Amino acid sequence: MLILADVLPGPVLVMGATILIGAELLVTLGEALLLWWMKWSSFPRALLDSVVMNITSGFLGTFLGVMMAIPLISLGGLPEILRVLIAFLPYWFMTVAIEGVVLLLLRQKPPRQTWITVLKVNLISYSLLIPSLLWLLSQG
Amino acid sequence: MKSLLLWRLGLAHGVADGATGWLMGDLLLTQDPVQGAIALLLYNGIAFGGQALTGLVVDRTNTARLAAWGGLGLLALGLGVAHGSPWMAVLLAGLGSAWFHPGAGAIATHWAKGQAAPLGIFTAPGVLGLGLGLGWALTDHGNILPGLALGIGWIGLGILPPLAASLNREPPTCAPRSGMTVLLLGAIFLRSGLWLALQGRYYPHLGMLLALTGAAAGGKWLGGYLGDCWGWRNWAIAATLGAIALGVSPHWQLHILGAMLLQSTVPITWAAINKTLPPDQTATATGLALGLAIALSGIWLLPAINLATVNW
Repeated sequence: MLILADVLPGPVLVMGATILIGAELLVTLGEALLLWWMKWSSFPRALLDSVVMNITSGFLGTFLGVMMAIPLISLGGLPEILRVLIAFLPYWFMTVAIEGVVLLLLRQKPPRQTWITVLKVNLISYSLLIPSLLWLLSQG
Repeated sequence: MKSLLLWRLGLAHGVADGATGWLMGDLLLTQDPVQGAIALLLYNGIAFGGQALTGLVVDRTNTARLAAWGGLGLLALGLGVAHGSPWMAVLLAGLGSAWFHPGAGAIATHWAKGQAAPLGIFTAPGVLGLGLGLGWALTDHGNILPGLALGIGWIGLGILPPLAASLNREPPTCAPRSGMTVLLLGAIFLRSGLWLALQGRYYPHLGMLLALTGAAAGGKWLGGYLGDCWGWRNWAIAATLGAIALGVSPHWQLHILGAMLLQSTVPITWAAINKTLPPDQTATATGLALGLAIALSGIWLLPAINLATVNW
């Protein structure tokens, strides 16, 4: 089963460490650019925020996400792509939750602004990652 | 007085990491290789990957002492249940480490007054404890001694003199520089990768691993002083280049010296990160310098674990 780069150690088991670290760095840089583009902060600060929130959600999200996804992975009678996407939901949820808390504590901006920013950033980054995942699956 | 307090804090760091080392060694001995590797993965993910988050919480709630003390308590609980419930032990130890390091690190930063040497006093016993704890477990010794040491450390932390109401009263020495923080985190990530590569070269030769951890402890202790004397940037560049040159040599004695030089930059990068973040984020700075950046490099350690063989 493939797991996207936002949840860090999972893909290592499938993809290997170097590829995964590269993917994680790309996601981190991409989300930093999104934060900056959304006028969250200056680019250096957006980059630091992205590093802290993505690595934290990468590790903690994996631990919590695996616990939540295991029952979903074993869903029978569904195509593999659908099972992967369903199992993927807890990871997305954990990513948003952890990154939101990290940003709230790190910058202390209004909670509403913080949560909306995190949701937007993750919707955009995951909407780019999911097609990549589906393409990888289609390659077998 | 402050130096004595820092040594006490460092001792608590040593017994905390010693308990962790014992637990990891014990898991490697008592679990099959895949389970042991997964346990290490979980521990590292929680203990290192969680430190930035716990550091942020500690800073916002001003609970450094409670975090350090509570973290040691969680580690002691983990040690206690290691044989009955190894996965619970990993969870407790991971959470304990994730709380202890930012909490104790924030106290050390408060006493360090912007210097790197006091941070070296705090960090040096940690790696030594880790090596000794691991060695103690791998030579088939039980958890009584690590448990006793942890108890002493816990009491020692509990009777520390009262801290200022807020640990972060000092005015900022310079404006926060987020770009520099990211660069420093990148440097720590690369340094940690080199350190892991050096360790991996000698794994599972226990004597050599102990020699490397001893050298690392000496390097951390000396590095803070040398950095303060000769300039942080000068010493960090010289030590890193020296470590790389020694690391590629064929002689193991030079590798030990290289490990010492490499680790001598730890208190310097930590002190530098402290200066690039706002003064009310000392626990966060600790979590970034001693946790998050190291967690990322630890990914390379992971073998190809087959999840299907794990008994969840």
